Amino acid sequence: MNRATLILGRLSQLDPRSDDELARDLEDEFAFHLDQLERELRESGESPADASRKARERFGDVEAIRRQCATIARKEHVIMMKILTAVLGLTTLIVLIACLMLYQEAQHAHREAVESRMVAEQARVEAEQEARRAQAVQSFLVQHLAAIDPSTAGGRPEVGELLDSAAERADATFYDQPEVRAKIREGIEKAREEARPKSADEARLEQADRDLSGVWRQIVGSDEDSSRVTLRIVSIDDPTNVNGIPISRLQHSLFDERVELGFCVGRTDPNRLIITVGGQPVRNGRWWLEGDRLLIDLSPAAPDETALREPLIFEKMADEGTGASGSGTGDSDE
Amino acid sequence: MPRTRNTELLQGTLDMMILKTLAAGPNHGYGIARRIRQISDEVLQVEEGTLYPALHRLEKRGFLEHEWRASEANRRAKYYRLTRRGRVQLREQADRWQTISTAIGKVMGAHRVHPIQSTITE
Repeated sequence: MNRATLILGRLSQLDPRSDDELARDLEDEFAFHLDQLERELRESGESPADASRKARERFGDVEAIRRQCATIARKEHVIMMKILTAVLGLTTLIVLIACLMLYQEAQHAHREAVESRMVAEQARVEAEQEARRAQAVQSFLVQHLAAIDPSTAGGRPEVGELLDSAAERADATFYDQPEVRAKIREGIEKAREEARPKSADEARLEQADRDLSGVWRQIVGSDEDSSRVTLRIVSIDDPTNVNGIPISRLQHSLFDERVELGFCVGRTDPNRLIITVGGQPVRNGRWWLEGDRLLIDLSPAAPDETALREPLIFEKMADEGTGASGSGTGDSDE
Repeated sequence: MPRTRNTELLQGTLDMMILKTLAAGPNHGYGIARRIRQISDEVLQVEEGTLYPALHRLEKRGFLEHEWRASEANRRAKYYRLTRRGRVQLREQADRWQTISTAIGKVMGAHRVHPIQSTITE
């Protein structure tokens, strides 16, 4: 018999009577016994009064016997009720904990759903706003360009005049929509920049930039994320610490954000950097090539870093890199 | 009616005697006590203070069950009767009692048969 069966068996034997019912049963049982004793004594010749007194004497302490019987009747009952109470309490506790966990989980899911809805709603609103702006810009440009009449514009208008006219009209039309106004302004300024005649110096600078990009391609290979060249720092004694600035900072902050070389650093180890070509054109003359060496001048990008006034110099590793001939000669475009 | 002082005897045998009495049929507490007294020729007088706790204990252990009947004086009378477990218990207790009483009888009989030898041995 296992423990569960035993407990169930005990439970089935529990006295189902209430305390009052038990007391009444004992009362009736003892009263019947006393009646019978009294009758027996009367039949043996005792007077009714003596029979009653003697019957009570023979029976003994009724109250003590009642207490004894009640204790027997209630003993297991009390124990089982304690066990039942404990089991019920434990079960209730477990159920409560489970409910609490489920509630928290549901709350969490609800919060996430609400947040997702809010994000989606915000994205939708932004998309609608953006679409409205784009539509407004397009409509404006179409209407404005269609409204240009060479006869009323004094013959063949200059591009600059057209752009000035467009800007004024945009300001007037979208005086209450600064975002749209800014978009149109931005486009107009770009167009103006493109249309502006270049000076000889600027043209040469752009050409130098293009030339340098060509040299860079020659060294590091094709302009793809998978093309890599391994360079070694040769301008500093301790490559793990560039004049007080750890390599990791160079990697994540300066190279990625300030140097503006258009490549990003893939990874580093104590004495070399592995640079991935990102495909962006080189600007501002902050790097140049000397033979196989790549020189990077960080000073313009980090004016507060006095320790970096000297250019960093990298050397291409002989056994690594893809498609680099190392024969290009770089010029500073400063 | 003189009461016999036999508490020690009843301590070990009262349950068995109650079961045996009820083997003849259902009975109430008063009837059980009177029957034991009559059968024992007034030697064994079961005190109520012992009888009723024993009855309730036997019922609690599943050897007895009860039913209420109306008496002649229109009182409720509680009648006990043996259960199947009670019959099994009675059989086991009777066997044990038989073994013990036989053994005691032998011991007591030996003194009567060989009183001189017994004295010498001691």
